[in-house]
Amino acid sequence: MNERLAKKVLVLGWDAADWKIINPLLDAGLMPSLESLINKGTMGDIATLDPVLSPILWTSIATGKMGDKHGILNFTEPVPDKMEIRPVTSTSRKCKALWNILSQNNLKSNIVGWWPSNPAEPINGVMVSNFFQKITSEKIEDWKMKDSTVFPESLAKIISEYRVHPTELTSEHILPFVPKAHLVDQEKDKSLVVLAKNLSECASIHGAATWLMENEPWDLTAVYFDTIDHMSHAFMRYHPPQMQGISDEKFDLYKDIINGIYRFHDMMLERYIKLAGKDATIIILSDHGFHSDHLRPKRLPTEPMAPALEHRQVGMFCISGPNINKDERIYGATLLDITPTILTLFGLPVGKDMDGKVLTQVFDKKITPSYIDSWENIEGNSGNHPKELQQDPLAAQEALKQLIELGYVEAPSADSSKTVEKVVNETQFNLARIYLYKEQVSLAEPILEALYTQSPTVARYGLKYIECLQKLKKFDACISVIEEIKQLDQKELPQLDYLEGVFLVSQNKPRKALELFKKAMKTIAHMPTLHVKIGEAFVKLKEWKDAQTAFEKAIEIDPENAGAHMGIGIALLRQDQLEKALDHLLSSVSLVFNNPLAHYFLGEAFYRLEMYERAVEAFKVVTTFQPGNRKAHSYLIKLYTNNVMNLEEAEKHNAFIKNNIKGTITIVSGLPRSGTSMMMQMLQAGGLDILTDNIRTEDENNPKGYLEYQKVKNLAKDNSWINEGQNKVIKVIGQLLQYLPANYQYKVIFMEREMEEIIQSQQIMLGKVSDIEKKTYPTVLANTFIKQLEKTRSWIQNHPQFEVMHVSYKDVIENPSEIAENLSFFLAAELNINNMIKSVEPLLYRNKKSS
Amino acid sequence: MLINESKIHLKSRVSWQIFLKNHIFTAKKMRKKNNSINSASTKIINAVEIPYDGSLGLLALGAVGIKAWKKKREELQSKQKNTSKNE
Repeated sequence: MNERLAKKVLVLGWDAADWKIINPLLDAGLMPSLESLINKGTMGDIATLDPVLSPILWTSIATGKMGDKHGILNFTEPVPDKMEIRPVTSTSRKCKALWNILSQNNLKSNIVGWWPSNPAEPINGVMVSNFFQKITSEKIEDWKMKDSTVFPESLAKIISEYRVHPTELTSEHILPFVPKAHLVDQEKDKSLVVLAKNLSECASIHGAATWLMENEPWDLTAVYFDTIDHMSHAFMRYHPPQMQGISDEKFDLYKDIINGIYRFHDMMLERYIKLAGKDATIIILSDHGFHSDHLRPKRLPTEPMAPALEHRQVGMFCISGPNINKDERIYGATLLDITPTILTLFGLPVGKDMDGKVLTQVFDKKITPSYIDSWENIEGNSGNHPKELQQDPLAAQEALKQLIELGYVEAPSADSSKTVEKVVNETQFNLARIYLYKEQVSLAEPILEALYTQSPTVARYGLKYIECLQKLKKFDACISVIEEIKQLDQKELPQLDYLEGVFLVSQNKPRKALELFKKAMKTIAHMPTLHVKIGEAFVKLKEWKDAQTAFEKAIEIDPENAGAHMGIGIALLRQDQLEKALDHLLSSVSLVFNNPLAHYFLGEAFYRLEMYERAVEAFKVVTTFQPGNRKAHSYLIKLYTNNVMNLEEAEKHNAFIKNNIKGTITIVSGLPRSGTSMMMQMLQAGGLDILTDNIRTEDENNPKGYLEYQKVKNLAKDNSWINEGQNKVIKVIGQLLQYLPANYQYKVIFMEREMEEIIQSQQIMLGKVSDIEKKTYPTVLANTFIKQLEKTRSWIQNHPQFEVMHVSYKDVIENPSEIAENLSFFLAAELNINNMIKSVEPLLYRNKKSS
Repeated sequence: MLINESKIHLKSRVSWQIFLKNHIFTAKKMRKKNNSINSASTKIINAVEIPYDGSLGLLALGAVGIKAWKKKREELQSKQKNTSKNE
């Protein structure tokens, strides 16, 4: 066990709290309690996860794990033995939460209102579940607390006395939020009821938590409030500045509510600070932010989870207490880091199976966290529910379905089946989104494929499926889904143009992408990401001024768009406007710290401005994120050797490159007869060195020569010769890519061609002309090739040493100038474009797919 | 469910200056003096008259505030009952 760095830890979860609202209130002195914590501690943004749905996020906060591991995937879940749904429960959580790990280590926790925590778990301490405060009845006399809300049961009665019902509230509670409440026509407008309900629920949670802090021993107290989130969903539209479509009357009535609820949280915080005592470590965080400015959506689509569109991708985080840095900022925190950091505060090891990291920057001394493989295997009383109570609701639902089909259980009504089916689908959809977020794309694919196939008219399933196929580089499948959706949906889907554009940019077809983005502009010009993608397309084309303009448009819409700031920075850097570039790059990394690309360009800007010390810092950050980034190491060697003079450090980076990173090798790959020889010839004409032994000479199938290297054929058995290919181009067929040694960087130009054409060309080459004449198409062979190609693409995707540009054979023939230009960009080489164009011989495109 | 309209009609003042010795303004002044801003405590509960209608400040005090408010209400209600019985 490591040194214990905190005597007690208090965690306050303020769902949806956002610095954008808090900062002006702090400036006005209206949140003094939070200000006192900030001044004594460390604060910053905290990045949320995808999907931005609170039960999933708060479980990630409490476990350090993403939803695929913790199992909470939706707001609701099917009831295991019925065709009904219910709010998501703690029994569906598949792993230990922070309080379970603390229980095993004889530490006491008071957990109040955490989402989801019902039924309350039998932990070492007290748990008051998220059902405790819920207003389930309009009349106070009918408002009963359910069993299993409080553990231990013996405390249920006394704690329940601190619940507050909305009918108990008076004008004293309402008027601070709605000073002109007497003008509200309550028969038509239920806003005051919404306010009172949320306020009373908030007071109930606070009552229980403060009672426990005063009356029960604790090492950890964790209290979750959903009030800011719920009030923001109900009233953010009335927050100043007045939104279009909001009447003057409503604006005047409700404009103070949002500020009011933050101020009320600050008042409660005052009490927590007092009760926690001076030696406690206090953490306040939200799971996401909430749009409060011009980015507030004017209307929400009618689909499940649509309210999540109001959520902002960053939340707020603040920590203060012994051993914590004072008056500091933190960058790069995510929700997943909270549990590892709290375990470290208690001197406990972090599970290596956790997805988060310890926020070592918050400590005022060097901290070396300790690790164990997993807490899941550690025996001892963790206060988890007994195994028989834990259940995977989806698996249970499958079992129930089978029983219904077998006739053992009566079939439910159509309505209830449909409701359950919807919940199951949304849950699966959320799981697929988590896999996509984690870059485990191949796990997302079958789920999205099934959802799309089952419900092709549900646009979000199709759009996500396209995104997934793009990531998997399954371009043919991607295009066919796009076409299918276009045909299915009579009205144009602007997101589809946008996604197709993104797809084309990834295929190095920026001009075609720009055409689609232009189309999408007619309807979704309000989306900052659209302008960012337009900027990226112009960056590919090295049209810096246009790129800058596009990124600037994104900033106009969302001044805090980190990608747009980075884009402007790059565009300005390439236009030699170094100081302005520096400003934007600094903004980018302060908004989203964990983006090595932004740090790289920041380093370049510092270097060119001769701010060498700062350049070193920036490149060091790049190598932390990407230890194999050769360019960053090279910059550091240059800086240490010539500018900041630290030869020892320079040598370290030299040695690192020597031992770990080899040079870059350009590979031309694809199936035989997909145009690999043509590409080799094109690159040779462009001025690149080719690694060839010219043993295989030109013939009538390849009149311009194959440009092959015999040793490649034996790559699976011997790859020791690969250093011969440094800074040269080698032809390697797709199936052999996996045998290339991993300590080199590869730029792969992967040739794509219609399978029918490839097969035909191969048959001619093999002299099987009669097969073609007979029109016998080897379907099995073609399917095998298709599967092999998919496997290869997916394999490349999962190996970071490969950077890939996919090139269509047809595009080379039809538009060699654009392809040559894109190749020059991809290879970062000044190629002879004219010679490359001339090397392409359209007459050699002999085996065309029959239309 | 309706929020007690009669009470809202009767009241028109804005009362952020609730219970905690004027939480905001006092806190600001006290910060300048570099003092603690913690003014809410059970001592205050004992020392100050609890309003029958409650206040945001009492809610913000948590358990002690809620308990004091509910107790005050019960006392008044039983007092009113007794009075009407006697009448």
